[in-house]
Formats: sequence, C-alpha cells, structure tokens
Amino acid sequence: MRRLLKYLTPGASLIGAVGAFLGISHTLFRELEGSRSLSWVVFTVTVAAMVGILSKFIAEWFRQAHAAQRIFIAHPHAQQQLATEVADGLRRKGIRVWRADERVKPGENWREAIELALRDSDVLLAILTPSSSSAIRSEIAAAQRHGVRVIPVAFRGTTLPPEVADVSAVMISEADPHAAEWIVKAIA
Amino acid sequence: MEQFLSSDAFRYAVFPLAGALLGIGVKHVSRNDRYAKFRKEDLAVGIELLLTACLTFVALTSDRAASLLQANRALKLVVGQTAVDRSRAAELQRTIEQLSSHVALSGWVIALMFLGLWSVSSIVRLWGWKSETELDGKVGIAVPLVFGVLGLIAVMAGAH
Repeated sequence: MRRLLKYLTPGASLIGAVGAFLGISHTLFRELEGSRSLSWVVFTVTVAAMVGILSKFIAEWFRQAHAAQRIFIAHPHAQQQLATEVADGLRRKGIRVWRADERVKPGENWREAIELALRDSDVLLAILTPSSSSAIRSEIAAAQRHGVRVIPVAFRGTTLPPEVADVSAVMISEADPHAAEWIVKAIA
Repeated sequence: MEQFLSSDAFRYAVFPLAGALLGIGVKHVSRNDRYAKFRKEDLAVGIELLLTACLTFVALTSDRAASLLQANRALKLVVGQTAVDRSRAAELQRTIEQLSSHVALSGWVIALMFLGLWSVSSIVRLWGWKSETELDGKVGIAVPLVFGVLGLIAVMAGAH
C-alpha cells in the first residue's frame, strides 16, 4: 500500500500533465483549425519552451549586459573596520557590496545566506590575515565553485591559502592608514 | 493599431509572450534586494501565468453564462409576443447556440486547466529542483512556462 502511494502522486502528476496538455491543445486545434492562428500558437509555445531550456544562458547574458558589479567582502571579525571603509569606498564608486555582518539578521541561516549571496556576486574580495579563519577559506571555495572571481587582499606576512595560491593578491600593510583607499583603487 | 490589436499575431503571440515577460520583470524587481541579480529562477513564471489564465477563463465563462441567460430571456419575450418576429428569434437562437456550445466546452477547458495547474505544480515540486535554491531549466522552468502560455492562449481563443 505504501509503495503504491509512493508512486501515486508522481504517476498522477505525469498523467495529469500529459492529459491537460493534450486536452487543451486538442481544444485549441479544433477551435482554430485551418486558420493561420495555429501557426502563431505553435510559435509562441516553442518560444516559451526555448526560454525555459535556455534560461541559464539568458540569465547569464542579462547579468553581463545590465547588472552593476557586485562584490562580496569576506573578512575576519578583527578587520571589520577595514571592511567597512572598503565597502564605503566601493559603494561611492557605484559598486554593490554584500557583507555578512551587515546583511545576515539574527536567527537567519548564515550559511544559506552567504551561499546565495556568493552565487549572485561577480567578485569575492577576501581579506586575509595571518590568523584568518577557515570560514573565509570555505567562502573562497564556494565562490570558486560558483565561478565567482576571487581577489585576495592579504596583509604582509600572510601565507595565501592553497585555493588562491596562484591568484595575484593585493598586498597591504597593517600600519598603513590608507589601506582601504588603496584596496578600492586597486580593484574598482 | 486596432487592426494589430485584433490580429492573430497579437492574440496568440504578442499577448502571451508579453504577459510572460511582464511576469518575469515583476518577479525580478520585487525580489529581495540582497540577492537582486538576475537569475534563471526569475524566468519561472509559468505556474503564475497558468493560475491567472485559469481564473480569467472562469470569469470569462461566467460572463458567457450570463449572456446566455440574457439571450434566453430575450428569446422568451420575442416568442411570447402575438406577432412573432421570426428573424429576431432566429438571430437569438443562433446566439444561444453559439454561447451554449462555448459554455459546454468551457467546463472541460477549466477542468483541464486546473488539472494542468495541479500536475505541473507537483512535477516542479518532485523533479523541478536541482538544489535547495536552483531550479532545473527544463522541468522547473520550460514545462510550466509552456503550460502558462498555452493557458493564456486558451483564454484568448475563448474570448474570441
């Protein structure tokens, strides 16, 4: 009985969808038989199907053509001040910035929010210090999984994690009061 | 312009596709601003279109039924007169025939559209998702979109 129920919904859905499609198409064919309208119906349905099938490429094209650049800033908690200054500088240049400490609300699933935001970003700006946490490394890995460009910003003396070992990094010095300005200039 | 608005191209191509495009636009601009970049999931407006088509078709059918009642009352008045106006009666009869055939067919179309709505929703739930947040292009987006525009076309054909 349980096995029967398991297959009942998928089976009924498939039969229902095929039945509804054939039924509506048959009614339309009967109503519009012989007229040129039928070719317009076929054209429209084909366009809709192609839009769905090519949805990934359409979205990609639209993003490249219209969307403003989006930068995700990943940083250790100790570098909050620097991250804020960089975010402000980038926003002044019209770039949209996403930072977990600004965006993730209490009670929200931060892993899911970060994953979604990374998927929607063009660039991940990873601020790395000698004591960077593994969280930043997992964000770098997630960005690379989604094809997001990673720009490491490293304090002098930091060993770059293997994920970005071959990526040219923006090097800054901790004592430099203009570090944020320098980062913005380097990447904007 | 009037000619274009009443043409087959507008009725069966421009209207359904523009409806879908508008749905996509509204979905995109109303999405949470934190993740506002255009995603392929924004193209998944098929189920909404089909639902709109179903409800519009129900409203259209009840309009037709009301017209049928009116025509029947008018025919009763014409037939009730001592000198029956035969041409007016024949004209009303023709209208009643047309409306009755439309109403009879509409019941089936409404049933099929709601069956399609349920089936497509279940199919998207069962097989339309690639991951927690990502829809599959074919089953999750294309299939509902085809049903959605087909529903809109059925409404336009019914309104004709």
